[in-house]
Amino acid sequence: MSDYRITAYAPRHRNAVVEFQQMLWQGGARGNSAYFDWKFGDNPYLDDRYVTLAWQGSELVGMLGVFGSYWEVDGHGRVMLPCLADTVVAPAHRGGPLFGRMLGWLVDRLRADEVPWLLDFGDQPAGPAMLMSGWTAVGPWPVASAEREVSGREQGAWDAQEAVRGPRSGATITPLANSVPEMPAMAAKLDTRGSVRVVRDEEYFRWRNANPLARYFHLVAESQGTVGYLIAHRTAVDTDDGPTPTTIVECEALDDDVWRDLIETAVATVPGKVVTMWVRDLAPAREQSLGSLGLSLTRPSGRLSQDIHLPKLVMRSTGAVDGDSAPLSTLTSPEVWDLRGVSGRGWR
Amino acid sequence: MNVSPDRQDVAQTVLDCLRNKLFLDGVTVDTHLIESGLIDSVGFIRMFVVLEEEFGIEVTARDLSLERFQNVGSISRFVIEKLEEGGGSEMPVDVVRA
Repeated sequence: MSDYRITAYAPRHRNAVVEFQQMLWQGGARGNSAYFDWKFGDNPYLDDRYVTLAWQGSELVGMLGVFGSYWEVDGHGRVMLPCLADTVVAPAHRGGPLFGRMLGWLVDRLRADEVPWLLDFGDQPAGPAMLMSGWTAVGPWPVASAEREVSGREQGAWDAQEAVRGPRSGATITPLANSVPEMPAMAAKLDTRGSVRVVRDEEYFRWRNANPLARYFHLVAESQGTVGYLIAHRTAVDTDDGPTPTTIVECEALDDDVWRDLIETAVATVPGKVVTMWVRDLAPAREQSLGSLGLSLTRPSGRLSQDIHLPKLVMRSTGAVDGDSAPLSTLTSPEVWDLRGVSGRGWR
Repeated sequence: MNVSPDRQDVAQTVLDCLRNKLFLDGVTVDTHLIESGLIDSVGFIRMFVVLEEEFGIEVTARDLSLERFQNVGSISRFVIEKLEEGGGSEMPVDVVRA
């Protein structure tokens, strides 16, 4: 148990990581390799320096991925905050202290580099144990979801589908293969509800959309210009009728009717048996209309065992900052976060 | 008539749960669950489910602390606190004493 060796990732470990992560990424050698490059190499905010590996002898037995996320923070400008992801412990080494050992090693490194926080958008069973180990939670929060019948055949090209007219707004809603500059431009104009929100600029949209193990489905609503957009995500390693949900990772619109038309169109047209979306930062009028759009709400019950799969943000101070006057000292307050445009799946 | 859970009965039931429902081989009343490496993050969730089912209590985020869940004794104290504050819907007869 004590013979684990924890190291930072180095290029010589690449083949071992690609093979090891098949348990989680399931993209095969080529797909996993491309995913590693995308997440830890092409990420505009952080390189692979904090990817943490655990070894027993020469065997890779654990990994913590750490990628960069980029936030607008009132009073601080733009701030990179590292996110934990892609955690895998080899089956024979589960049920023990390895995860905690890797995490402790990682946090020590972050502290030494004066990185103040580590984030994790967790919807996984590790959450309670992390909270017991000094992490702080924002959430969990509700999700909306819809189950649909699926045709059993693969959908054709997303952007080959015909545009539709939104029944409420009259806007033309068009499927697109990629994001367009009007999307980040609209996101930038939004009123924010919190003082910490993810940077949604062209660079972010471009990077996210380049995920080699994901498929993104874009809708744009136009009525004398762009009046709204929606982006949904589905893993590329599942079939259209496979078990993983399709997640609406963001939907923005200039008015509620356009927003409802976009959601309704997505629920009707994106692939997957289940369509899901976060509800945390929806305006009340939009949340109240989810039922009429075919989505049902799942709210937190307060019981850990029941809420374990609901989304939450857990974060841990590395100790690099201390005290109320320190930079970013308010991050543990739920009200400072505006998580529109963020979804755990949106970064997978 | 007030009934209060018996500490020894609760502790025995917790121990039985850890052994027979969570299959933590070798666990004793003194075993430190985390330091021993017997239980991991997923194991905690299973433990919460078992405690909720066995004692009719609810485990919430506010209940989380390493001290509460470090061994059979601390878990038993937590269960008793929950039962006494009314967290238990139906207290099993084998963990209460009239």
